[in-house]
Amino acid sequence: MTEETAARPASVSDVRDVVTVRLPADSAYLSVLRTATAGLAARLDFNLDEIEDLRIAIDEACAMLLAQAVPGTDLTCEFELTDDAMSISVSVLTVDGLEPSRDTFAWTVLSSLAGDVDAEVGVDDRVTIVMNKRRGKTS
Amino acid sequence: MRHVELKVSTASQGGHAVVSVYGEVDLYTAPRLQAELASLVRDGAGRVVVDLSGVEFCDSTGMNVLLSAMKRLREHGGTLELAAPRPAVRRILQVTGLDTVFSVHDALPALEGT
Repeated sequence: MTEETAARPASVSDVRDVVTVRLPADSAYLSVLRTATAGLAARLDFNLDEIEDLRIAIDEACAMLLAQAVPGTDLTCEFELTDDAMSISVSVLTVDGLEPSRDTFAWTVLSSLAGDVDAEVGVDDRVTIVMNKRRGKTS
Repeated sequence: MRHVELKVSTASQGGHAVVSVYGEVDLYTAPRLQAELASLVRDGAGRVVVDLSGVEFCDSTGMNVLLSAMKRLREHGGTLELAAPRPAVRRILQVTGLDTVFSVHDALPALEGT
């Protein structure tokens, strides 16, 4: 992915892309989503540590949501890529419509690694976790 | 999706057990690690060392499995130690504060009687 950088036009700062990934709400697909997240973060020139943090963060967010997901439904993950940040929103239809507990290792890890994190409950008991990770200084 | 993402094997030597883990530990694969550690607890294992050198990824689910195994081993006078974590695993140990809870070796320790 780095080789693309050289070919990009000067207007790279205008980049604003939205990528949506939809997967069965099943833990078997977590590794696929981690890989997709790492690939998108690499596009934004996040450094290796930041990419690793995002890989862990997306995994933790999804694992929390999968615990309450309605079986047989999908997990939707929307990535918004801007010049120097990635905003990720993950959501599932849940059986209980409750926000994930913040008193767990999973939430500790997520909030430590993902920058700004929040959770909300919407219509149809859809629970969404939103995180916003800014890119650090890169050379 | 039948790809095996985690392999766990145990070698017992001189009354100690070394559990070697290869692959990625997450919500999907953690039950495999949990089953292996639970059988060591059942067998009354003394010193258990988990070799993490082959682990490319571990999340809080994996950490919880290791933590509960350590607690159960301690109830019977046993220990659980971690060895050779890669940077990704060190990161999660550090973020959860578990690096001060587990005994973590930089490399797989030499076992007695070998």
